[in-house]
Amino acid sequence: MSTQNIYTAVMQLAKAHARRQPLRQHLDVGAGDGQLIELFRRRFQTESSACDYTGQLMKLPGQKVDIVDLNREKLPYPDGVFDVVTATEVVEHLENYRNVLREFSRVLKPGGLCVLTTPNILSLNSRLRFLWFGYANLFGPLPVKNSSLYSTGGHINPVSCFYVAHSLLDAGFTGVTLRVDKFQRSAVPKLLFWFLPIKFFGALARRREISKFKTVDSVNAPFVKAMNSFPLLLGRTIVVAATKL
Amino acid sequence: MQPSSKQTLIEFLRAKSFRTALDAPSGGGWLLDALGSQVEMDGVDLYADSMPGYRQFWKHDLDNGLPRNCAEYDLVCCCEGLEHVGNPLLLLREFHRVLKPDGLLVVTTPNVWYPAARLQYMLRGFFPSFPPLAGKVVAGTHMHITPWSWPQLYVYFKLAGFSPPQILTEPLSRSKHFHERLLALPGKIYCRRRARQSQNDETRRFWQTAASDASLLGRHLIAVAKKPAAKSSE
Repeated sequence: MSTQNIYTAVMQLAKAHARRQPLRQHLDVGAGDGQLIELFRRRFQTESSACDYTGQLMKLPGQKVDIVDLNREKLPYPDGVFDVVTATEVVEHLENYRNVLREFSRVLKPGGLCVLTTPNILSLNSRLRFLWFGYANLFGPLPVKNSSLYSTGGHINPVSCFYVAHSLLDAGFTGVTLRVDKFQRSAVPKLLFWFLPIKFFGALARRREISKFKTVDSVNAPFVKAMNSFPLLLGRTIVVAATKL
Repeated sequence: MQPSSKQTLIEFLRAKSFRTALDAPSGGGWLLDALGSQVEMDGVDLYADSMPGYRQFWKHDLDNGLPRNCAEYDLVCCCEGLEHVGNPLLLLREFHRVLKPDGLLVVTTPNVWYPAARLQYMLRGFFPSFPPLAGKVVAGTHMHITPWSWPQLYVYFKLAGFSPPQILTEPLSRSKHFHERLLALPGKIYCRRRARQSQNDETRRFWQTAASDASLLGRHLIAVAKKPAAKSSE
């Protein structure tokens, strides 16, 4: 579920992009009640399209919602029509997020902006939960007996910031920027204990990745490095922006 | 796939009888070599144009599902394939499509729940066997992009229409070191507690399996599930 902190982070990234390229046509995927659309309209005077699995959540008067099942259908828009596509807290619900990112690339104009947010499964709190219990934060055991498996918030796809960044590059985006919506105060004391082991073993592993496995190159190096950075260790939600080539 | 995992799987399959099978992905064709004489086997793989011994063979990217002209099978084996695809649910639904009612699906994949994997994730952010991806995900490259634990497999099997899966215990399900047992202890206690609190048999079995050595300590998961026979309409 999107929060005010997430919307604020998305708007900051959009403002930075708007200085270079005007934002006129906006698509919000997983639009929900339309809060982000309203923020975009107020700040950038955008014409917004909303897309979701249901239209019943929308609260903006007169806002049409295009109903799409992103697990089975393509986006119902022609190629290259939007200046910005936003999808807050959507990726973790998708069966094939890589394919959906390709769809975002398709409907964006060249130079268009894509902003995604998803729970940060690399935060220290999330790593510790996985270490002890096997689940990332905001991902838990889905109902076993209940046939409606999508009912527990529907988080079926935990994706780390590295894979989001890689998928965006793979889908034809460039200039991938990572940030987080807010720091989790509860993670700070844990970081005091875990900081040195994470830095030490992380550096060893990174050296091996570079010299032995050759899996780090100039393109993915910033994202590999970011995985054990302070914002990623303390952040609650990752906010990722990228520009279509 | 480790030899001990192959051995466990082969022993399990030889104890059953199948007339037709699909091997997807086929890899080097080891499953055909092991079972060939007792089953008519078709194969699918991304790398080879053809492979001798298979009744029918397709060069095909499993990320797009299965070839449309696949036959119906008593057994589908997906050994070390599910972690490579970006849309695993599509592939599982395709396996469901080509299986006969009461047909068996076997999936093997690296397990990210074993203690060393959890510790590596804690300290590095990547799982073992899931190194950083460099460059594009191109057809023909060997990349693990979808990590699996027992609960994640369970959910996807159910979403694809299969009966609750089981996991086979194999030699790699045993911990190598004592500290691994210690690291796995909180998870074991948690899963066992959830099993005790379960309100029905299916949930109880789920948590009992989640608490098993194969789930918590195994480096590999070998999951087996049936395609339920269609219920007769009355």
